[in-house]
Amino acid sequence: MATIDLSHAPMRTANEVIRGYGAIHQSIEIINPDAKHYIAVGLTNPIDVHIKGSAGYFCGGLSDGPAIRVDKNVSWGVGDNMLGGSIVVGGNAGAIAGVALRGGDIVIKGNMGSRSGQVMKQGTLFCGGSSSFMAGYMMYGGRIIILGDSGEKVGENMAGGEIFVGGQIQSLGSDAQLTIPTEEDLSGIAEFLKKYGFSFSGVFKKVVCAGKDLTYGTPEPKTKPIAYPEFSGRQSTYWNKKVCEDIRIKGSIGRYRVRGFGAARHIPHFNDIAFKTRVNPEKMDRSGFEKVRLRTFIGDRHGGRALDLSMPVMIAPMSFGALSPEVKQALGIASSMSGISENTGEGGMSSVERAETRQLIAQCLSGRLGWNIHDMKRSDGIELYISQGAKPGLGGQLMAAKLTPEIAAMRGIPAGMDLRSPSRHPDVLGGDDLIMKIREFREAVGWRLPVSIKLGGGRTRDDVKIAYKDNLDFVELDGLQGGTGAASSEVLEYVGIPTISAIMEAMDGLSEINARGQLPIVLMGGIQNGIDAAKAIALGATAVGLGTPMLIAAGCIGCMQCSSGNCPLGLTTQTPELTKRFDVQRSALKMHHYLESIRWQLAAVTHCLGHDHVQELNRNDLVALTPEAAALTRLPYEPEYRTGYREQYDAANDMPGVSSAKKETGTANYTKQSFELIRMMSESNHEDNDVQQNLLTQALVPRENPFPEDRPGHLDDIVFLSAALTRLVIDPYREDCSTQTCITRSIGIGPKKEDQPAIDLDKPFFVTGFDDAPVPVQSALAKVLSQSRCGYIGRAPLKTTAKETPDYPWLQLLKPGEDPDAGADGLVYVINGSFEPISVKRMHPGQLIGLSVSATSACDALPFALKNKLDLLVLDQTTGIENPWVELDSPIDLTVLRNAVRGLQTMGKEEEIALVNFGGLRSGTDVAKALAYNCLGSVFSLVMGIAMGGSIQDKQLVFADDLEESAMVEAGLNWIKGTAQETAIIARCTGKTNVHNLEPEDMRAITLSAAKALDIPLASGPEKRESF
Amino acid sequence: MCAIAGILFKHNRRSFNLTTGEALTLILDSTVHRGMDSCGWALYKDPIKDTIRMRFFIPADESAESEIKRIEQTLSAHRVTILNTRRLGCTLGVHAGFSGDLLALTHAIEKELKPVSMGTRLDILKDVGRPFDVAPVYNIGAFNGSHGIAHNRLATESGVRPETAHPFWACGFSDIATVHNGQITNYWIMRRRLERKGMVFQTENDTELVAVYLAYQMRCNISLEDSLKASLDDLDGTFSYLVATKDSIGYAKDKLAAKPMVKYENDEMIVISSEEVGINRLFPGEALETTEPAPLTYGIWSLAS
Repeated sequence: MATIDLSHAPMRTANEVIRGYGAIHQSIEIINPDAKHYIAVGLTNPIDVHIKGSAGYFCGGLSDGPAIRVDKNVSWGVGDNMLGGSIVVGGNAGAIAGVALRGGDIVIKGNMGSRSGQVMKQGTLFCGGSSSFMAGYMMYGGRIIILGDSGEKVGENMAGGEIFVGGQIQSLGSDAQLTIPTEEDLSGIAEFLKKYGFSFSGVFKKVVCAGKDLTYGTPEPKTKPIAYPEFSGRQSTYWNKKVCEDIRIKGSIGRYRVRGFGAARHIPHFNDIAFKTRVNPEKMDRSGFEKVRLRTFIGDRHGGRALDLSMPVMIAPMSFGALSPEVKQALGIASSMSGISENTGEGGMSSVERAETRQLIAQCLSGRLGWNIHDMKRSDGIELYISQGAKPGLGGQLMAAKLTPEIAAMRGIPAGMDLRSPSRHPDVLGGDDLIMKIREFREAVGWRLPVSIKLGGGRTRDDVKIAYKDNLDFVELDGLQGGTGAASSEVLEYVGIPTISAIMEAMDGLSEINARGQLPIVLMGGIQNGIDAAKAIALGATAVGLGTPMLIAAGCIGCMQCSSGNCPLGLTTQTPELTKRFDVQRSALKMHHYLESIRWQLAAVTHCLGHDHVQELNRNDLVALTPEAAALTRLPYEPEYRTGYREQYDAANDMPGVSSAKKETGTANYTKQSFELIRMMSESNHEDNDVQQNLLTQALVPRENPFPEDRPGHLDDIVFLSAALTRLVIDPYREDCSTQTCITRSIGIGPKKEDQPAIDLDKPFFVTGFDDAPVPVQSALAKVLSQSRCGYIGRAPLKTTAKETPDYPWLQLLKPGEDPDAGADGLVYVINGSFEPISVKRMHPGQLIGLSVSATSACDALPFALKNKLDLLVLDQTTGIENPWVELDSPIDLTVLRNAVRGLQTMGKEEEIALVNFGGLRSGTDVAKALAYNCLGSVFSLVMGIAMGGSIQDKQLVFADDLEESAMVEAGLNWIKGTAQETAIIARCTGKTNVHNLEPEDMRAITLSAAKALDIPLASGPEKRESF
Repeated sequence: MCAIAGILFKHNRRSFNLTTGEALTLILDSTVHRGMDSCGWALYKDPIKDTIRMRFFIPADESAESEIKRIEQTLSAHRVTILNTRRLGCTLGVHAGFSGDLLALTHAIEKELKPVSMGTRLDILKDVGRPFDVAPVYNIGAFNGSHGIAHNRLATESGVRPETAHPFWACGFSDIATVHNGQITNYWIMRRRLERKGMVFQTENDTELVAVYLAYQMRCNISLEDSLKASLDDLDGTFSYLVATKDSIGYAKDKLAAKPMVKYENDEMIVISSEEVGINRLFPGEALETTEPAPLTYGIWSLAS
């Protein structure tokens, strides 16, 4: 028996020594542990380890095989991710004991802390005493045995496995249910108790997954992508095909939509930036730029072995599961051929992928699916996923259609579920825990490998500082344009900041703590060619990551059905008939050609700009071609640099161009031009100078400015900043976020005032504009509003065909001078044109009184409304709320919001009157923006009509005669449910458990017009914050 | 994103062999990996008759002398009798005679000066750096009073300066201090609400918000216990925070209970730390019975009267 004294040995040394004894199968005892962290982490030999005292965090974590005994207590995460062996704890365990357990036994003789067994998949977690709250949280499999009592919410959101409780169960978690243990269960437990010397004479209760939340109900109908010019850019209309499709589909499925790819509308990007030196591909001297050095080392900031990239490019993390095994193999081959790195993504490492890949980063996600010590050890880098640009705040999603038995087995979860991974790690609940998790990883692999995090752009300025202080080796930073296999379509579009903003914020954040240049950033999210890559590096990135374009190089046609599992090319599917369409060798070669074409472009541009090394590219090499790009990057706005490139391309182009007849793609960030260029790069010979010159000529052509100056401020140009490291995201799949709404004036701190009028709603939604709709439509809406507890604003209550009186709050819409209705829950006087004082009268003390005002009347109406203690202001963004379906042809004027909110702020009377906005609201995200802007709710009109089956004809919404009332009710309810989900998802992404806690500070503008209309800062802000 | 610490001795009979200040500093050092930007202590010293303890930030550069003069003049102008002053690190400690309304005084001076803390017992000492480096500068080890709370900070969304270190004083309220681990995600909504009620903020740190929030509740004559309870509804995000008064330490923990906080109690004392390792440092080799508060709970531990 060897002895290690932790009062002398630093943990890093101690773990080296422990592993050394492990290698020679020598048992050891550890004295003076004194609750130190990471004891025996990463141990993979079947030796006895006796810890004579208490251990700290992650005792025996990431291990396989040892028999560990701890005499006294352990802190958080004992046996984290253990694959086999045993840990016996003499005293108590802190929180998340047995987190992500994948096999073996963990025995806690005393009590066990909260969330024990979180995301465990196999093995047994035993507690001789009582467990704190949420034991078995999100567990996928395995067995928890608690002899004593269990705290609140036992089995919360479990997807599989079994929990046996000998004592009292304080409460069951959601989707957990009680059953009676079988004989087999009990004999298994008896055997276990005997093995570890326990006896128990009571009766066990068994908790299992009820299975109600495992899959989405109705599948989302198949759709073809709508060409992006329909919904983004100059030609698009407000109530376009895409908007209508979203409304209808939500009306049929009753939840938020899910799709693959990234943001689909225009986002300011690298093709709005040009090089300051004219790049003329025809004058390229190959012998010159072949000398340009591209080799980049990354990841040795803390002594690990750096990744050795032949050029500053990595393949972005994409999971085995989202992609077929064959595609992962091909990516591995291509990365090796081009001398760059590959990344496992979520869900584990396939052996074929490992064998084919020279440098493979193993990615660890929140669900710890397929995560294990052996794959860590055989990787070349370790990456902890915090969030990603496509869906910051959401965990991975893998629909049942793609979750085959093989993939489920690799991940250690039940097959056939719609997998929605947790939004955050069980043991990383902030920057403080992150540093401990990173340290555990380092200990597990003997400090040999680079450790990085993957981060979606958002609160990047603060997040990178934490990454720097937490000793990460590099950060993979992903902008809004990043792609994914599946995510909520609203989060894809509206949560996160553009890639060019993300890199700016990262650089500015590091500068603020004088750490610029000390934390390499690998930028990804819409980087498509060597030109984009060069610009990213010039803005400060050390390398770039490529995801979606790799798939395009392998043949992706952009049908955006990635989440469905029906990929016609066999890329993002697990269906054998489809995956066999994918030719590994051929596709690997195409991806390799694409990468080599990028290399050619990077070298050529670097040389042309007068540098010898790619890392010498810098901001002075760049100019902005659009006011947006200039504002977001602080590059000089020099649109004249736009000229020449297209002409150059046209003159040189003797290659078959993109047929103009071909339909545009479904995303403005990968147009048919982008697809065509990437395809041509993937089919090009990198030795052929002429071909490469021509491709470079094409890649250099900038796009038209998608945000012309006369464009009015648009809600679509506002994005949200997600929580990542500085604050905690609230899990949209399983944690509550309240939508309860109280429309009242004078919101203060403390309990609601009982003596003033108020309307309580379940959701922050009103509907208006149905006064002239056919009676069955009105009747259906009345039922929808009654059942979903939303309000109606109209001249009269909705007409009904039902016998029972519907029960929803009705606010009467009337002109000054008209008779108020005593039966109305509120009165809304419509102010047309400029404001003149009017006479108002409450018909009963509980009746709300409000005004509907426009941008011109808002400021003048405010003092009157406050003086007369009015309750409500409807901020009308159209030409008149009283006109039916006014949203069809009215411009949407957001400045009324700004004027009202700023006006109230100036008077110090914010929240003294309830604000509700109307006009152009289409989704839950639009409402989230209004709420964040200080509204208490929003008013829908046209959108509700479309949801219930109305169709737009000649500036009118028409309801067909054969629409069934019950169908309209169902669609209406579904739409409201899905829309409320959207609002709550956005709120959760920003870290709120209540939609009314959304704040203006959670929003950023991506265009100048939106920034001005709503007075919201741009996505990348000023260089340095003076005081904060 | 930090580590919190607290110690409360229930009575005067003490067998514990470290001073309160030493013990708090050891807990901080054991959990320093959770935050290395800054640290601080709120110490409850014995009251001195007719004396109020005040502490102000002063600049680190040569302008300190003139700032000290300005502090003295401002205080005198508000009928504060300065008994003595002592410069310590980036602060000036003042012992003063003052019989007026402390809240009114605070409101009058807080826009001109940067008060760190005031109270008959409370003294907040905080600075940029790690506990073992900062503690000797502020003579923390010499403190051996009944209770105190302390903090290591890892900055999240506000800067790294002495002012943004914890603990925070509940401005205007004698002897009340808070430390916090977590993030308040409706910071701006709550801040604007409090500002409209006349409350003043010196930083953009969300823990200051907790302190100001509690101060506001108490201004409305709401008890500490009820204030803690109300905070569970009013504050969003995830947090474990401690609040200390002249004779007690209270805590509140949000519904997600994501931020760690463990408690150890014996006949003599209550010890709170973000991690067991902090508590174990005080009792090497011992097996301790520690507990963690449940989600959405609050509580107060008091000195034996």
